[in-house]
Amino acid sequence: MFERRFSAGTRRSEQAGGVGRLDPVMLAGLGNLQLVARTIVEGFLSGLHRSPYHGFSLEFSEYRQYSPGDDIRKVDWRVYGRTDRHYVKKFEGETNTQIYLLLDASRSMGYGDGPVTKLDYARMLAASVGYLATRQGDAPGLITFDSTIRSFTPPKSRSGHFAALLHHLESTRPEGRTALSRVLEDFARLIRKRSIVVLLSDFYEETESLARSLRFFHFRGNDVILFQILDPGELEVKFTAATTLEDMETGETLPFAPEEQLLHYQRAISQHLDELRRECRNIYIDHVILPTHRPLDQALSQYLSTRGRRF
Amino acid sequence: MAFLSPWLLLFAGALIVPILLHLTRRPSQRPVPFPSLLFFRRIARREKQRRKIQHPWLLLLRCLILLLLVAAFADPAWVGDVGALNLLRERQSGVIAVDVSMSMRHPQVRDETRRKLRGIVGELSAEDESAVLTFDTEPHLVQPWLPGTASLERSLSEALEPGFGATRLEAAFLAGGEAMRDARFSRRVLYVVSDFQKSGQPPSLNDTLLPPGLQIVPVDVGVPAFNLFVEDLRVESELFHGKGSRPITFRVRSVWRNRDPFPVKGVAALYLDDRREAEQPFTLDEGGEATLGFEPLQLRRELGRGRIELSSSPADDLVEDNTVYFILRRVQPFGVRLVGEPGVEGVSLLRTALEVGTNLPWSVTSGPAVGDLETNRVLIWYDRPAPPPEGIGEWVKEGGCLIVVSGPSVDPAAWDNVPAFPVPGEPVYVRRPDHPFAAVTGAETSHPFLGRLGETGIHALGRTEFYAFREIRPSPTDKVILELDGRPLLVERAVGAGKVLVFGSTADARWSDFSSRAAFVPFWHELVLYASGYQAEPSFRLVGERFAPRRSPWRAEGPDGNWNLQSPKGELLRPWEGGEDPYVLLPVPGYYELREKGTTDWIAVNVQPRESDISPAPPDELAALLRSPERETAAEDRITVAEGQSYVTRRFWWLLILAVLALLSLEAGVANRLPQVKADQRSS
Repeated sequence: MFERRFSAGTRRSEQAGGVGRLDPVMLAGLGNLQLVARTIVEGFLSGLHRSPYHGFSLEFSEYRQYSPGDDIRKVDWRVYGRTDRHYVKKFEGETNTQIYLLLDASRSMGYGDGPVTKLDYARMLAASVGYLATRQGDAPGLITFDSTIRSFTPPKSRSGHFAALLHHLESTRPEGRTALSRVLEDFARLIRKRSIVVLLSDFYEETESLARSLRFFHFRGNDVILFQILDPGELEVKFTAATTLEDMETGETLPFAPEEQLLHYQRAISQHLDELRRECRNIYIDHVILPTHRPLDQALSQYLSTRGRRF
Repeated sequence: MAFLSPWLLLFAGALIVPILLHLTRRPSQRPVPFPSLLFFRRIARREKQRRKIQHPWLLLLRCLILLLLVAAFADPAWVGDVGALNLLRERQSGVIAVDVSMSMRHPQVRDETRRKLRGIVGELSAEDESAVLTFDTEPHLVQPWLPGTASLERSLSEALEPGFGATRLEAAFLAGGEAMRDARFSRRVLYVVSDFQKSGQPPSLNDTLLPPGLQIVPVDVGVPAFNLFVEDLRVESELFHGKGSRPITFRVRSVWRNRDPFPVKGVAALYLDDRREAEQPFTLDEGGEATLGFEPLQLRRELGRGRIELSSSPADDLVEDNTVYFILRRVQPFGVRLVGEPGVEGVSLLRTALEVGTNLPWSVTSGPAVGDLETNRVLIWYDRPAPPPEGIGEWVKEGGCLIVVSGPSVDPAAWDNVPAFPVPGEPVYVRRPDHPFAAVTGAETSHPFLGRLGETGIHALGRTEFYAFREIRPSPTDKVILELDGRPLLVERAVGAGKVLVFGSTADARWSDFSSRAAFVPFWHELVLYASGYQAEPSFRLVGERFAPRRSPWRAEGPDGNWNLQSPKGELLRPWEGGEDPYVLLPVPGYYELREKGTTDWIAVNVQPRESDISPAPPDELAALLRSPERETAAEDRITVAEGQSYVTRRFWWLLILAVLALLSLEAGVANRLPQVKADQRSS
């Protein structure tokens, strides 16, 4: 029920005009990742507040609905004044969920036809989720990877940890090749307790091996969100003349003739996305396709939805 | 407009380079990075070659830049007067006077002349009218007034054949001014195309002969040059006694025009009838003069054709005057009969005087009788009491000449009876205590005899002391040539075809000291020559002279026109009979064959030496010559002379460079704004 109402509310908040403030190009121009994260989150939340379904965010951020037996002193009467509903503020101890942000920093993530590359977009999203998690009392952690885990920042909820996390995000550069399945296997050894795993990647890998790795995570009780970040030029190739393409990770070159390859490509990538979506659905993993021109509030909505299922 | 370095225009062929680049340049095959090729189907590489020119107007712009750059390096120039740039100028009447004297035969001068004539034609318009004349010593109208320029080029091409005449700049101005009287338009321009030799410039010019408001444009086509030539050739053409000639002397000169002088070494070779007889090496220092001579030549026949040829190192630029021609001929002397008493001092002195010298055209006999008049030309009747016999009078009427020397023996009464001759009167003995002699007090210097004697001779005659003389009684028609103390001393009377000359003194030392004076010998020599009417044939004549053969060497009678002259080029020149006597203008140097009544003779013609002096006249001298400060006219009537080298070549390569720079800026700006031809060619 929450999910349905949340989903509807989220869509309404997009339509209510919160989109313009979360435009990736505009956000990328802010420069400072912390400012970006704060802008995204605050804007997202204020958008939620303006929606007819305002108050939902409160349910999923710092408050939960009053249940019989809750300490009446924990009811936030200001919220009641705004919403005519009884909400109980959550305490840090009630949450303290570990949020693992897995950021694909391989070379393919450095691609971008416009001012915002996929890595830039992923950085902003990771920072936003981290900021939101920190604000909710969760413990965000960061892992950057390419063919192996490049850096590991364990989840913590201490003050100052978010700043360290942002520092790692800002210093991440797109290098190396992708080996997502292997990285997930390595990562699995690092998780001690059930966590929320947020995967940010373009997922250029065989669907079958990827699904196998993801199933492993899910069956160990982790909530997984896949944010598949793609450039619009990857979803719809707009090359009109013959040229030569070069794989950014492998260096392989390939002659390109639009009249011979364009249609095949569109079909192949659509098929890949469908397969991944299907695999994720089968194992109850949230899969969100995020073109880099799309505002980030949808991603945040999806994150909060996943987050909310735990409670 | 012309290009001063036209060969550089060949680089315009480099225009093919940008065209080829546009056609053959392929877009960069640099690979386009893409995140993953996982979903692309592998295909074989296919090459496609672009043939289409991208941005053709940009190609045209680049070609234009290259063309302008090539044109700038080829040094374009506007050859013409400043006025040519004024397209709005009024219609003009223009006379183009082209110098066709010998100095214009220099090859580079001819090229320069062609170039500047093209420039003159280029500045004229179809509304103008033009006339063309050429000039050397005389002007020649080539084209009368005609509108436009259609016939001008043909007329000018005819005018580009210089001759061998000397320059007389005055001819151009006067003829041009004369032609301007028929000009239609008020703007009148006289173009004088010449190398403006100093030798051709008049000392003054009567500018009243030039129409008011005339604009004179001097067009100097002179170039730096060096010329070597012969001047002051002295060779006696007629040989009267013996078979050999007199020594031949001449001067070799070198002249530099706008060049630094340098030493010249050469050889002067003497030829007689095409046989090399002798040679003289010479070296001219920077002063450029040397006097040379050849020993007398032996004539093998009655007439010999001689010439002197110069060769030098370095060779000079004008070769037409490197050869001078002359004629040598053997001539029978005419007879002079001295009739007087043998043993008389004056007769002896006079005969001696007449026999002094070499190669005299006469031979002298003397005696108490007249002798054979047929063989004599001049009869000297020395101090005889009575006049000559009646037959002498007839002889004089037919062309002979009688010289009467009056001394103490003359009987004036006997002479009164012969009215044909001037009468030598009573003797006058000068007995003055202050100066016991009479002196020549009057001389008719315009008389041909005194002209031959010259001022030196006349002055020497004036110092002669006459102690006694006969007072001659001339008739009103007699010519008094000399006066002694105001009384006639030498009188001439024309008698029929001949003449009688009466001298009122003797040749001995009793009546004067004339025989001891230096003027004594030349006096009697010139008097005999004048009396005889003899005219020596010159060894050579000059180009541009009027020639007419003499009927006889004894008098300058006009020929009857029944003759012709064949030029060195083989051209037959017939006499022009427009004046009193038929004559031919001598056009070229060399030997001419004269044919008259079945006889053949030769004459030699040379270039005028002054024409060989190519020294230029300073431009301001010409301007000063043409501007008369005495002429008080309104400004619009004043004759103007374009200053200095007004007919200049105006180069404008710098204008083309500016245009290139401007176009380059445009090209850079436009090329940068063009959408880049990326290899991926993503659509917008």
